[in-house]
Amino acid sequence: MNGFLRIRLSVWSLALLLGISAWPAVADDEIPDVNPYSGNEKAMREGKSWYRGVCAACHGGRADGAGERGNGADLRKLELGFKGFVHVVLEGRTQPGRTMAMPSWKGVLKIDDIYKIGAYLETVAIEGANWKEGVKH
Amino acid sequence: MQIKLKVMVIALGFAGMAGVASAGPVSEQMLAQDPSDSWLHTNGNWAGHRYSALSQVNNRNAKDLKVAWTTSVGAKTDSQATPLYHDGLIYFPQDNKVFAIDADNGRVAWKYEHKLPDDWGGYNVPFFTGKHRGVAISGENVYFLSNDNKLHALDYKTGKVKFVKDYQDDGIVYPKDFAKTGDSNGYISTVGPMAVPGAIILPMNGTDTGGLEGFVLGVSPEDGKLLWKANMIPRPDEPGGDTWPAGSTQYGGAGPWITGSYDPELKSYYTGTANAYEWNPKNRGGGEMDNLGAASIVAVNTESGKVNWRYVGVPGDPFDYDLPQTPMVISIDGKKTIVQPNKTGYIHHLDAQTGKYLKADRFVDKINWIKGYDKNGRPIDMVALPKEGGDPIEIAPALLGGVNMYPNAYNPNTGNIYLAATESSMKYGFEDIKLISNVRHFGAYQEFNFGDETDKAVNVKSGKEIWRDTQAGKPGYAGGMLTTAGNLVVYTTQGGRFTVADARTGERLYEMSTGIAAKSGPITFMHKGKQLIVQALGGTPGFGRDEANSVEFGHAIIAFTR
Repeated sequence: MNGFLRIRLSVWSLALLLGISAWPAVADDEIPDVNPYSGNEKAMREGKSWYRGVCAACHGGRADGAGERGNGADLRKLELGFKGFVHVVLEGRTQPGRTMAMPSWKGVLKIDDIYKIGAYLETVAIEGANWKEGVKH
Repeated sequence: MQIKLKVMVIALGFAGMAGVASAGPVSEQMLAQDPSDSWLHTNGNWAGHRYSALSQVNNRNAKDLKVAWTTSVGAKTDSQATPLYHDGLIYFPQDNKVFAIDADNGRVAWKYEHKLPDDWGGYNVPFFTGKHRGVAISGENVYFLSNDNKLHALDYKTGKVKFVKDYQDDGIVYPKDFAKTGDSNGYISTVGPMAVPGAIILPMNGTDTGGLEGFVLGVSPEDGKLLWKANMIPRPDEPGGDTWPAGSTQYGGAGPWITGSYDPELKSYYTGTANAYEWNPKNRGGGEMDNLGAASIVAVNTESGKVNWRYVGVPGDPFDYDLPQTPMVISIDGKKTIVQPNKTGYIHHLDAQTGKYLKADRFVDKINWIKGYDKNGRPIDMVALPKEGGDPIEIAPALLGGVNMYPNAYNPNTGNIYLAATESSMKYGFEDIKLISNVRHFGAYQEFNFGDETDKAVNVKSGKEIWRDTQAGKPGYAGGMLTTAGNLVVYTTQGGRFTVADARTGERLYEMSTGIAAKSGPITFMHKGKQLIVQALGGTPGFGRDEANSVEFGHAIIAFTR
């Protein structure tokens, strides 16, 4: 076993030990252009529960950005497209010159649960929202 | 003879005042005074009054106020700290830095900077990072609690660090990035410390970063070593220990998250505490058990760390109401009384010595979560809780509270307390409690219905509202209240209107539009023979998205004088 492999293996062992490798990173081309759970009642219900449990603190119970924990984006008029939404959830987003930020949920939320949250958010969309077109960063 | 005696008494009184220096190291005697020349406690005095004995600026001349200087410390998040002033310097914490600002001109005299750990992160942490609500000063040290719960003692003249003390070995761990650990739970310090005889008081709160139970620490002013650790949640063998199901307290919340008050005779530190965790109460008695110590007022003996009493204002708190506000110590009809306006929409009165409930005066227009409090301080007819996963229920006030963390004030001359209040309601529901990286999430959600900011005066004895200043159509709270012997109340609205009003009538005597939301209380002090009023501003108005105030994120510190 060469040194490089040994180091890589030990990093993986450590990661497994800490339980942080349960959900591997998702490559861009693995994210579908449209949400596979769109219109799926069971998925929307689960997504709503995740949304209320995890996202509503900042984005508000109505998804209008009126959360108790700061100024989340108004997700009712999300313009990023489905793929853009998934990117932001995975990578997070910062505001220049500000501390408050959208944290990265990569390795924290399962990719399927992120899709389900998206399926729920489609149900509260208002004019200006864009869930059906491709990627908009 | 009688006149002569009176003159002598007055002369002796002045001599006594003159005997308390207002420069040099901060003595215990100086810490025990109501603020006049200096402002040495976050809440003005130990009793939490935010009342200054100064009257150079008063209700007759406040109209002549002018801006003396403005400055900025480049805040990257809300500026929530009430500054301190002593011996020419204003002390202000922001973004894990401490700034000493020259009261002559607003220039930074010295700056101290602390770097957070590389693995800093976790649930709600970006929301809290960089926010601070005060520092303490005692002897030659300024005491600062960084977000990662380290106590920094800094030379008050130079900012040179004397010691930095970490309390992780005492169980006070900081929250860590989800991706870098299997356990992100931790304590996060945004609250300021308090200097009392023989100890620096450190409130430790982990409630919203996973729910680790709350403590108040007493530490040595010399080296920061732990003297005692008071648990807000009673142990099973303490009174009220049976109000929690077995095994539910480790993540039970109840963190003290605002600087409390202190009574030197009773040697008691009084603090409000946060909600019980999780918000969804199914793991802690389903709202049927009291969860004493959470959403409570707690009295801690500052020599032993023993908890003298606890009073729960929201038994089994299912609404994230908590009772975090500073419990003021006020003498009413000769009885030392704890007076705490809080999120519930009521002002609670308790006996300071025993914790016995005395009364609760309603101060907001809309309340429906209960019909009042009975003679024992128990809520009357609390609404039925929503079903998990079912429809939300309409509750008033919202969990934003009648008042929130924005500090209130008490003026012994008018007998009024001045409230940074708001009207609001919410739709509130329970959901499954999600677990991520061993962090339990709230298990509840809310949809806010914002009402108007209502800055108001309430007579503390009668409970009657004396005046109100309603910001029609503008939700939020004043940043905090200051009141003075000059018959003044000073506050800045969430929409950025700096306001000096008559304390008895509410008549607005001076106002200036700053264009920046206030999230902290103003202070006043004497500097080179002139009374200055200093207001720190900064942050985004309201909670969440709030276009109504038409104010963008900003920051400034402004000094006013005649």
